[in-house]
Amino acid sequence: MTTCPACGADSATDDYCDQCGAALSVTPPPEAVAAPAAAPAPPAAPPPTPAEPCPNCGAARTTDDAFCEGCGLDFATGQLPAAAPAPAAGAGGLAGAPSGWTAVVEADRAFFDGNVSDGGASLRFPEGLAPRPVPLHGDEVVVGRRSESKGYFPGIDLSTPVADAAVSQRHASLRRQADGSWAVIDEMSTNGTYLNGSNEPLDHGALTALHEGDRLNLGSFTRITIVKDAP
Amino acid sequence: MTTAAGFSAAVFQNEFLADGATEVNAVITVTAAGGAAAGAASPDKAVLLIVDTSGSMENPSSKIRAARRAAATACEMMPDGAWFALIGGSDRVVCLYPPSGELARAGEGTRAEAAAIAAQLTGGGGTAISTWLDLARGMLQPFEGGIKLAYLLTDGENRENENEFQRAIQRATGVFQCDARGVGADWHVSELRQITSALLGEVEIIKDPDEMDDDFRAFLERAIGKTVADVRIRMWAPKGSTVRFVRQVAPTIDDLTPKAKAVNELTAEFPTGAWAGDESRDYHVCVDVPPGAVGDEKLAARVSLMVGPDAVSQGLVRAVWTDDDALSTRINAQVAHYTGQAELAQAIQEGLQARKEGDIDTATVKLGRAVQLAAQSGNEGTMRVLRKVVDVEDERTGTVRVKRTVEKLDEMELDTRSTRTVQVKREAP
Repeated sequence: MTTCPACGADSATDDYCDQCGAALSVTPPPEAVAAPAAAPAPPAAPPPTPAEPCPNCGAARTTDDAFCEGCGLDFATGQLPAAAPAPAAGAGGLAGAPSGWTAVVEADRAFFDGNVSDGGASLRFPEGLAPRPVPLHGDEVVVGRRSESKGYFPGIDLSTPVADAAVSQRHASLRRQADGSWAVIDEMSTNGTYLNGSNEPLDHGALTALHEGDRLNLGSFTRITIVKDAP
Repeated sequence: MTTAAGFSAAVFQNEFLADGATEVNAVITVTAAGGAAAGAASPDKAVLLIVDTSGSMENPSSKIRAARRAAATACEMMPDGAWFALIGGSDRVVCLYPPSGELARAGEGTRAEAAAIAAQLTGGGGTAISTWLDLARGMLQPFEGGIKLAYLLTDGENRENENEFQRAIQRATGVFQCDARGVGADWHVSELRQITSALLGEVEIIKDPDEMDDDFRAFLERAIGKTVADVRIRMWAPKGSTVRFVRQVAPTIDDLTPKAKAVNELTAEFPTGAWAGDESRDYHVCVDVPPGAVGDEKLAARVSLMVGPDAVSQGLVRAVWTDDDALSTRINAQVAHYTGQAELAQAIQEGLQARKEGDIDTATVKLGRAVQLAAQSGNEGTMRVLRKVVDVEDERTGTVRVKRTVEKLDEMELDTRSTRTVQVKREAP
């Protein structure tokens, strides 16, 4: 039994209030306006002194930066950050029971090359990025980029370890189906989500079932492969 | 949760609403897949064949001869262990097989006995369909929890008091499912549609008695395929909301809204009948919800699929308010498609009605619109039949001329065909 913060009723369901329908789990507000994604975010005002771009990912930097905004490279040590620990539950995070499925996040050279020929020449491919498995928990896992200022941490956070700037903040979400498998829904992303190498993006807002080994491409270089965990 | 069939539900919608907007639309695709054969034992199955044995079936006698052959074939196809009976209907109704009037258990012996009786059908007397439905109801009522299917074949209009007919349909509603077939051109589509709409079946025309055998066969095959009894859609909508409609939109259009049975203040159930282990149906739901503030997310409907007491699958219809017009003005492709298919069915039925009343201007506008919608959605089956009733000048603009003379059979085929839809064309990858 959960008490609904919107109408105060006791709800037998814990996803949405069974009286007024208000969302009960804390989900981030939908990102209506995704940042124009062709290039990494411009530096904030006041304009700091520009410096050489990041040697790893090519993101713009200033002399004030100790770490690269794009890939997190420590300019002093030249080290890339370790894969960030999964954010805490809530805010589209990995709350809930393990589902027996894992999303493997990696950088896809072929996809990147295809995009660059589309005119994304200012982007760099992140060399040497290791595949990162993200176990899928709960009923919904948001795919996007985090916003510290909004306290928004998607379950599959593509701002780390190397930010894919062409991913919308709330880009897509993976939804658990009644039969235990997962489906994907593109949440009105700017640059689209592509299934299994298709040239046509998924329809915005349409739920598409995912099967073992299905590949999603999004942003400028990201590939997410859905795999079933070994029993 | 393990049930006789694995059901899944997928929701297609644009959940984004403009500030102040309240109408939420979604298409829910329900699929029964795989597991139907495996797993739990199938429920009991009862199949009734109800054949018109009125005098008109002898005129021309090709009808009764075709009915003998087709009914005998169907009796021979009854799957082992199913319960069945052969009913002959005129202004009186008789259970022809088994003579006891109780259902027979299908096996080698009973199949042969029933087929032999079917081969001797003769016509005589009038047509009182209410008595046929009442007999079928009495025989099937004891099969609580089983799959109960009937196939009703007639060649003429019902010659009895309209109230009596409707009361019999009401009594049968929820007891069994019934498909209806009209052979020839002397029956009324609207009359049989009343039966099939209430009893979760389909009405079709058999234009030529020679097609009867195939149609009985197809019915038996579908009946054999049904493995899950009494599937219902349970829909919750929030306090203060109004359910505008719940409509099956594929494979055929059927408005479920009037069939709602309240479960509680916010929840109602809609019957969908028995399912095969490998079928897929689409539903369009439309709900008016109390308006939210920009940024609010609310559940607009929780749609669960019920088998017996269990929810075997569910889909969530959401509403998210935004001030971004680019999001809120988008119409989901599935919702747009099925809105068009529903309009197509309505345009055909209204066009045919206008033509019947001699209002050719209205008929031209309605049937022209139907041609345009059928072309847009790639509904080739309906387009083929439409072309028998109108001359098409331009599919895209819906410019048509209503034919001066139309075969009555073609007009009736178009009427029965009007509710048949196609699924959304998928973009090629």
